[in-house]
Amino acid sequence: MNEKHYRRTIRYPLAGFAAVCLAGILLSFIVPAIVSILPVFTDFTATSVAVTTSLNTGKRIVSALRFTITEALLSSCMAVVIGLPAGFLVARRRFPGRRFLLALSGVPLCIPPVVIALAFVLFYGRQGILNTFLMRLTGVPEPPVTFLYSLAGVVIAHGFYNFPVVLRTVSQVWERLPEEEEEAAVLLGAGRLRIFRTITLPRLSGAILASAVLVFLYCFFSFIIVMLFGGIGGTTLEVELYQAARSSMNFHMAGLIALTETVAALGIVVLYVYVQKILSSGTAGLETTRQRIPVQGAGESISVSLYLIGILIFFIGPLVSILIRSFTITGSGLYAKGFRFSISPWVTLFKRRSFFSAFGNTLLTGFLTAIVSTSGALFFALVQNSDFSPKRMHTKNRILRFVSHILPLAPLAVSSVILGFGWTLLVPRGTILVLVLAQSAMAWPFAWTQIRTALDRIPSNVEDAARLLSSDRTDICFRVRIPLALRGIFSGAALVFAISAGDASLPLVLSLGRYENLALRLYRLVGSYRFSEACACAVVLALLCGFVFFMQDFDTATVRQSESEQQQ
Amino acid sequence: MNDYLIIDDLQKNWPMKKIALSFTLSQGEALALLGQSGCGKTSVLRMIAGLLQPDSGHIVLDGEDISDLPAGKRHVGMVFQDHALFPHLRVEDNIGYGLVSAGISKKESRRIANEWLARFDMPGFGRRNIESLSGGEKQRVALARTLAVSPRLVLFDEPLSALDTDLRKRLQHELRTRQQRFGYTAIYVTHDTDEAEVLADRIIRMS
Repeated sequence: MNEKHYRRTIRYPLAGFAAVCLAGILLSFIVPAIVSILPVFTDFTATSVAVTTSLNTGKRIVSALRFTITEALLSSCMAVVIGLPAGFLVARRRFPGRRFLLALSGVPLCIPPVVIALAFVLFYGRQGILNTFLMRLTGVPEPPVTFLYSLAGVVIAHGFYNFPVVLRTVSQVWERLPEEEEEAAVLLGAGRLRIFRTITLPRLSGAILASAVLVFLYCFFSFIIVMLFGGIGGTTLEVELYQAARSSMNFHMAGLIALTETVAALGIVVLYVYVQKILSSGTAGLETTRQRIPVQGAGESISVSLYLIGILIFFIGPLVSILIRSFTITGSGLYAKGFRFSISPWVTLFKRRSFFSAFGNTLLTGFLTAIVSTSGALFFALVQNSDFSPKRMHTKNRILRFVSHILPLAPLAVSSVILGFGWTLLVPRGTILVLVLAQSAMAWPFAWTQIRTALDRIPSNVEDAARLLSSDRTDICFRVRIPLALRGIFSGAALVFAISAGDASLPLVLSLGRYENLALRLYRLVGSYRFSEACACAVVLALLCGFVFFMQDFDTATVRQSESEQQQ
Repeated sequence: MNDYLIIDDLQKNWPMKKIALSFTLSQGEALALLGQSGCGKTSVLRMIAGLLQPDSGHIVLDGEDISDLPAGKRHVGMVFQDHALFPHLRVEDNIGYGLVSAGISKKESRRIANEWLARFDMPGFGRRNIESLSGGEKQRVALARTLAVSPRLVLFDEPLSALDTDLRKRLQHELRTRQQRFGYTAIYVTHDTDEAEVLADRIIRMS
């Protein structure tokens, strides 16, 4: 096919489609975010009743904000405390189970929060596996572990769910820290603790802070976990917003919460961008991966073993309990004793037509969301680096540069409940198109990060060579940049699919008629105490998300592993 | 003889470094920019190619002021230090890359690419992967890719620095012979005086 004809018939329509997707994404989070705070200014009358209501509203919002910040802060600390040793082990030690620990870093991305919440209820609940075991062991009549329905429960669930974020970020820096610096410190007489405090920790601080801020943001917007744990002695802004918008129909309060939440989250996102900048400048030039050594001495062996056993019991245990519970039934009642093996939860699940409808909906919306979100993210990432004209190459326009940095991460500052609330005000009866647009906006930052990273990895001289050989920008994009970033593009699409499939919040907040995806179905099964069937549904959902995620990650991980082995 | 390339007071300032350069070049002439690492030789090439914007000055090529033209429209070729071949394309598609951009069909571009390979003593290499080539072969493919689009000027950024001494010596003479045979105007950047003397008709020392 002639090159010009090819451009006209294939490339330009594809670029146009991606541009439309980008415009759709931007509009579908900016417009609902603005609309969600409009009731603050329009849904208010200056009567004494309104003033009293307003004072109560203010108190409730402040209380919810305090609780949200507290739980997010404690959860971030918890994730760092659990994640830091894992980061060290993965980056610096060679031991059986290292690759398994590394594989856990995909959990927060591919296992939906609703599945994690269910896992924690089954494992740590009053009559969960842990309490049953401890009551039999000690003979006490009351369950000894009762933290789940409290602030501690939320913090522990968030901490365990998000520690892999810390593991991933920190280990990637730790394994590249130059050995010579620590060797110099040893020659100068420093002990291990001092070396860690004065040499290693300062170099890791950017990575620790970046991951902690990200975990803080995730926990700040936590919705499903808090909803399912209910009655935890406090409530988050997300849950307050949902109740104001959907239960009490108090749009004024909902608008105020949305405003408070978005302003606070925007601040966190700006902080995250700033911390990321510090992190990337601190790790520039750290290319070589250090050789890993076996675990040193008896003391370290015992510590490592205890740590790994702890992870197995407290993190893997709850996940495995879902699988076990999906093959068991009880006599009667919610927590009746006498579990026995049965495949009836699976039979019940597969007998219902609504399950297959939910499965189909999950595939359809996941697929469409992946296309829209990835196309928009790809277009934006390519445009960001498209200043080929020499006159523009050193643009000093700081505002433009700031917007270009902050825009792809801006949806992180708008929670799914705010997005859903805004869309509900715009379109009272939602459609699948609305859901796809809203989910595309929500997942856009993740797709963009994957694609941008892949594009940044293309050697600059390869791009320079392409520029010299062609004056057409689409030519360079379609023939060099996209083929070289293909792995990152697929990785982004798979991640978006997993996020969409695991999302129960948006389908719950948007009024979608009879629409139900697997995550929402699971949420409703848990809410109606059909735990065995819920577990079977959770297994299907986790397998679907995990399969898509690890299929794209497998190739990348294999390449990374072989590169690392070659270096060693 | 008329000046084919005029570099008129080309300047670039950085906080710790300053480049200011003027020179002219005749058609078919080969010039070497000689200097230590970090003296700004590569930056001069990148400014001529349009990959780096100078603070001031003019670049006139074949009577046309190209100072404000984007890189892809200057018809200036460049052979990079580590070749910058496209790793995802075959040898023939690397060489034919610029031809396809110019509107030639892929089939025709491959035929032309294979002609270039034959000229460079590499017949049958068209369908090979880039990774399977040796350093010297990569260097030839990079040069063939650059020459295939008939550039008005060819820039070489330390073209032999990644190679071992023996191969380097051999390729120095090969590059010189090819430059004289094809008659292209060339600017080489190098820090090796012997290499500059073999490759170029004239040498400019940068400090």
